[in-house]
Amino acid sequence: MRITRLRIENLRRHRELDLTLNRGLTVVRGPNESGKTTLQRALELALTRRVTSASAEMEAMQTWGAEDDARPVVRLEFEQDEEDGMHPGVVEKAFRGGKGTVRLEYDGNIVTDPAQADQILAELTGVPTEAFFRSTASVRHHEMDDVARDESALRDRLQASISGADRGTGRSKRKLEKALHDLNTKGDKNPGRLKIASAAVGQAAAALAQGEAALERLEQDRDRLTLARERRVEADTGLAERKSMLEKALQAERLIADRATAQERFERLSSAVSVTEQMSVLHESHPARDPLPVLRTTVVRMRELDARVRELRALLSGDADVHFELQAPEPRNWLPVARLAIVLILAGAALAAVAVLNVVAIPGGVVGPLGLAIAGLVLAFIGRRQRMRATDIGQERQLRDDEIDRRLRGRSQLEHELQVQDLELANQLSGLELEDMPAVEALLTAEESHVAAIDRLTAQLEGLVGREPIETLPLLRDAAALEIEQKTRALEHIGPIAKEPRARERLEVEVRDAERSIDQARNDEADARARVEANPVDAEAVAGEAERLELWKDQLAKLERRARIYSQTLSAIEAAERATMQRATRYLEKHMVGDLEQVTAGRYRRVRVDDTNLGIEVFAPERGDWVSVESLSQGTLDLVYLAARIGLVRLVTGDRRPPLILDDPFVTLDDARATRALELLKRISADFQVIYLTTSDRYDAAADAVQVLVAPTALDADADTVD
Amino acid sequence: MLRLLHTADVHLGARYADLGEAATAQRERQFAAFRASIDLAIAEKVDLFLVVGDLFDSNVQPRRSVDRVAAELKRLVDERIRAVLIPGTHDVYDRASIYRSYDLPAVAGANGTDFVTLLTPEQSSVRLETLDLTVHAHVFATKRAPRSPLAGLDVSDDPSTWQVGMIHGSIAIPKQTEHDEVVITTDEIAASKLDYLALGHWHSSSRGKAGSTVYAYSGAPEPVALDQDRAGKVLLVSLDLHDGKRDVQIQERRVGKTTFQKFEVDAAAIASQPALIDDLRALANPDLVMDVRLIGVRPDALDVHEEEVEAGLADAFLRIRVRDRSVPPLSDGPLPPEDTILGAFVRDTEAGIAEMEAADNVDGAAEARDVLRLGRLLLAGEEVTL
Repeated sequence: MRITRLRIENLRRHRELDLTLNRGLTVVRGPNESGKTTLQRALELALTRRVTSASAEMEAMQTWGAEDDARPVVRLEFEQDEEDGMHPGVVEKAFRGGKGTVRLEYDGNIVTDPAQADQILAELTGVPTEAFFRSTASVRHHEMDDVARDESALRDRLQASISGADRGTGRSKRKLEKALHDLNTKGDKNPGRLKIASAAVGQAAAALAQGEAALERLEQDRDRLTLARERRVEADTGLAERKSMLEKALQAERLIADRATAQERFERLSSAVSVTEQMSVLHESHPARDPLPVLRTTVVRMRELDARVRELRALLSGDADVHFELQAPEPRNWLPVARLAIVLILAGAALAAVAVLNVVAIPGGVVGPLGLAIAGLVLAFIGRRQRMRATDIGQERQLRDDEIDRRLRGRSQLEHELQVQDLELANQLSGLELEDMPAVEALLTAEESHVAAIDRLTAQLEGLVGREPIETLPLLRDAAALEIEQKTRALEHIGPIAKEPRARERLEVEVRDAERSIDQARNDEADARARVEANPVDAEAVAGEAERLELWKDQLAKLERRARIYSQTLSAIEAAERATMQRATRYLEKHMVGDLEQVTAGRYRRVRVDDTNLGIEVFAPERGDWVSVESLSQGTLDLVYLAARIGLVRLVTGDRRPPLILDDPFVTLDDARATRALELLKRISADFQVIYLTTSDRYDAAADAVQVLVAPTALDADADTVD
Repeated sequence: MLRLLHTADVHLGARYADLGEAATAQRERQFAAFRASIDLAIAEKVDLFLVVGDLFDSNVQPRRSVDRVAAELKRLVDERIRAVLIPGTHDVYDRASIYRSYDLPAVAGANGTDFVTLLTPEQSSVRLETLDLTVHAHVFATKRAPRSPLAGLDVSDDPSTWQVGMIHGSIAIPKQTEHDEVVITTDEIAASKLDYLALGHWHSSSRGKAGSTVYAYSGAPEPVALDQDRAGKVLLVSLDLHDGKRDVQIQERRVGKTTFQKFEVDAAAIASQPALIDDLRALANPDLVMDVRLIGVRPDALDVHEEEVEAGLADAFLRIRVRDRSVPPLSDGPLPPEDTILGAFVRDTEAGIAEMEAADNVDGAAEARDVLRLGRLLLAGEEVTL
């Protein structure tokens, strides 16, 4: 592209500027503040800046003092050299922020869409962006200052030229590396965000795992608790059932025992009833009519009678001889003695009384009378003895008399007695309706035997029922029978357990086993409950851990993604850099040699460029060795930079030819070098339109056209004059 | 006329992976919704309160939760309102069931009465004579039902006038419910002859009629996840008899407060991060869980940090989640020449993006786009916050 005319309105210094530019090398000369840099900026804006862009820079570029609605306008008339010839075009951009307008006329087309217009312009110039333009075809004079600043500045500037932007990759890479370092710093004192998030995820995950494990344990423990409870209930039920069965078995045992008792009672009472019946028969069949005691008395009497009768009959069967002799003195007569004794006693008493009463004086007082009385008493005693002897003798005489009388009564009396006794015995036998005494004895024996049998039955009955009234015995027997029947029915009601032998023993064993089982079940349940209660886990707290973990995982994922993006960006930039640098290196080594030779008047003819950093070395003939261009003089370095810069422009713009705009980059060169440099530009202008902005007129001779800008002339008349 | 309050799926103690620090508050809101259901039952003087499963989110919820629930049920007992509950699939009646660990009716002070009844495999129905109503529920001790809970249900011999069923499960939907633990069909519902079938398990409310049986899902009283737009309600059900004709009416009542909203923002329309925060703040709602997704193509100049937006709006919502699903653009307009670093970078990276997109590696492609954007900005010397 070659710009033939440039018109500027309301852009900084230039309220209105209209310049015609040569297709080759145009020198735009003007003093400071004449608007050269603004002119360069106007060309950059016209070719690359989106007309609708709103930025503080555009605001600031408005001409001072212009009307409020006046906005920068840049208009270019240009020619595009294509294979089929030269194509004219016009582009006009009016910068009004969002309301900015563009009009591009090219190849008979008019384009007003800002994006489309910029697309077309980029294709025409090979310059896709403003940054690209500044890093390639638009050269500012301060770039040369930077080149000389340090040994890396030249490399950075050249790298910027092939970066495709307006700066090298170093800053980008450093920024990415720092960001990655900040994210990944692993130190404990100053951990990176990734480490913090990763540690937090680890902690939250551990806490959650711990909580989940505790919840799982709780669930298992609750499961076990329910199982233990069910087993305990089952054991309770089993125990209750066995206890119930045992109770039935015990009840059955009691019933069986009661029934046996009733059976025994029934049998005893049945026996008793039988005894009473036998007794009744015996009572009705006594051999004797009289009770046994009466019979016995009768029999004793009859035995006495029988004995007397036989005795009398024995006496009467011989003669009776009575012989009796009494040998006793004849008793004295005791009566006169007794009488005398009484007289003496009475006389002695009377005299004693007279003597005591002194009626008559008696010699010797009372002694005499008393002697009389004593004498009377002695006589009385003697009389008494005499009387008693006389009585005894009398009795003996009576006995003798009686004996004599009895003997004297004789045989007749015995016979009479025999008759009486015999009669009485006969009467007795008759009363018994028996013939003789043997029959009586037989009757007595039979009766005694009969009564003995009754007595035995009575004793047997008493042994069976005690003194129970006999008449109640059948009732009691029937009651026992009824009881037996009731117990039997109750046993049947209890069920098979009542019939099972040794059921109680079996069930007692089973109850003991069940009690042990229930103890175990209760222990298990208590253990399970204790485990549940000992688990302090709180499901909501665990939920909180899970939620925290999600937060941290989300945070970590974002940071990891960010780190990946940084890392991938860094890698991609480095990869692009490596590939680009290699091409650029080879290209520069090949294409800048001629330019370098020209600007150094043949001094340097060999160039070597470092693949990695675009460091340039030239072969110094005076040293016979390769030297870094940074070691050369400032002027030479500027020229090397210019040559390399232009080489890179050729490289990166391919078959496109953007106008080269240089804002006096050779200001530090001496005239000779400056002339050679301009000659280089002159040669380049065959391919690229060159617009050289300068304050100096030393380039005028080499220029195809020179345009002169005028400096502002207005003075600050209001300011105080200072010497 | 009898009036029932039907709720289910309270999911006390549920986890909310997406709610972050707001999860605890949301758990409280769930309980608050349950309490609001009790309040409504008392205010409306209903005859019966039904909880159709998943009252608890799991069987390992703490005693504290059981006590709180029991305290609320006791309020019903005090008002002489009967309550019937069944376990669900989250609080399944297995051996570790929370209902086995804690005797809820007893803790609620209703032991030995019919004021609070938990139907279990051992007790599949309860006849509430004072209401002339029988509640049927075939509950299983396993999460996956061995058979339909309506199989074998026969209410013809039940002397009560009203027959109500409770099931925590899904109504069969072809290709959707094959893997559900408990599934019933509308044919089974129609054959049940129940007057009303109270359903749980689906968190959004819905209703229908099969044969003479009216059935309904109450939904969760408080939404449990982002997609439960019809949650937050309980059902007031009236059973009426007019001239021998049975009439079942259902009213929805809102008890939940939390709402969820998915909000997509075209990144191309975002002027800046502060502008995005201002725009979202206009939607501020302390009961709203806002799920913001940035979509579309994000201009290079737009630098949005999700966590900064979330932090900037934390006070405006119950919870706001910002997910940047937007992607940076591919290079627009003329590319730098391929002999430049930027040109090589752009071309190589875009080639990689194209490969990944062709391989449906969406995440990789999105990351590569971010790589492209970042490299482009850095190489262009733009200020980028890393």
